[in-house]
Amino acid sequence: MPRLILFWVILGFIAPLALAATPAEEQAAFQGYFKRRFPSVPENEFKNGVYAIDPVMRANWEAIEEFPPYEQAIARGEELWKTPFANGRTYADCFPDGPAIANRYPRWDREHGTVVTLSLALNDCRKANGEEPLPYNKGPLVDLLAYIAYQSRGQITQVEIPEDDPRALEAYTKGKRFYFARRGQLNFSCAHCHFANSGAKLRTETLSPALGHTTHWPVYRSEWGEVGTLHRRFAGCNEQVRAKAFPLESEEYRNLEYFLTYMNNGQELNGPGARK
Amino acid sequence: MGYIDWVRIGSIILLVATNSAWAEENTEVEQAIAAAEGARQQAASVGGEWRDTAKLIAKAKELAQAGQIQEAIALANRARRQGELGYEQALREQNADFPAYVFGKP
Repeated sequence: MPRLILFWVILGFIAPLALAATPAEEQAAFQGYFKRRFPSVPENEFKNGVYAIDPVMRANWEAIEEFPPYEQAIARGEELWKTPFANGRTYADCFPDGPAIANRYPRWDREHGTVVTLSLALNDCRKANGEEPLPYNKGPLVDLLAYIAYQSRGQITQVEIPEDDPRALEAYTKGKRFYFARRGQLNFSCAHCHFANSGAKLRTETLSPALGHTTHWPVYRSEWGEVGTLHRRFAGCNEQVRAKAFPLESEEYRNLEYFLTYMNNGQELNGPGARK
Repeated sequence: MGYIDWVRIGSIILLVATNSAWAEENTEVEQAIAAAEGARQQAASVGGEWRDTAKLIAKAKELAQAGQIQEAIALANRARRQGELGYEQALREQNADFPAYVFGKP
């Protein structure tokens, strides 16, 4: 009898480990789910978000894209990219392969044991050159992101989770937990709107599928009246479910970006974008 | 003792009673606000703070300063409950994961 109890106790510890899916398996399940949910949407259309699944909204969006509202941000970003810092160096000295570098982020930084986003890398570059970091919510940093995104159009999302550094998997897992955790007074997770309810109406809006969520940033949102970042959108979503938002570029949002972008591996980058 | 003396004694008793009730109410609102702030901080410590909790506490403090003690206590109690629920929610959700239907399971 004690042996039988011991067997079940050991099984209880081992079974969850054996059943736990790897990030690659989760990514396959994630992408497969949306392809099954929207069988008529070609795989390379998910990058257009809700405009891949709602023909009326798509027509409006295409009309907006004839005179892209993010153009000025791209132009300002290009000027910033080329303007030397006080020490005479430029962003190109930090990013020799730039400006088309968007698909290299977010990335796992082994040295610092953290997820590095493009915004963080740009500010790290500034600090390394004796410049003040830029605010993450709006302004010059977002302009730089717009220019880099534009130059990176056509690149394919390819986030890596190095298998030889367990801290990277931990960051991915934290991002995943954040994504699926119910939060706020409304008790919603990100998935409640963007998984099983994607394509459904929320008042006048159509909820977008999570596949394609990371391809087109930064985005000119008509609601904002300016170009903003993915983290600003994360914060907005959190507040919509009445949770207190985390600071932009906080560890929570960087891990979330790491998870969500990894889920979107294989999707083409088409930023900057325009959304309602 | 004349009539005037009785009025004086009555006034003193009334004043002491009112003062004591006022002090009691003041202690109660201070405790309610402190409890709300404690609950808010506990929720924040696990990433579970709700959007409006800090705003409710700030509003409760304003009302208390304006002398609207009972309204302030009610608001502080609401904020405390939000903090408690946010904390419980964050603990409950700390192992959140993919829903089974994504893997094609019922």
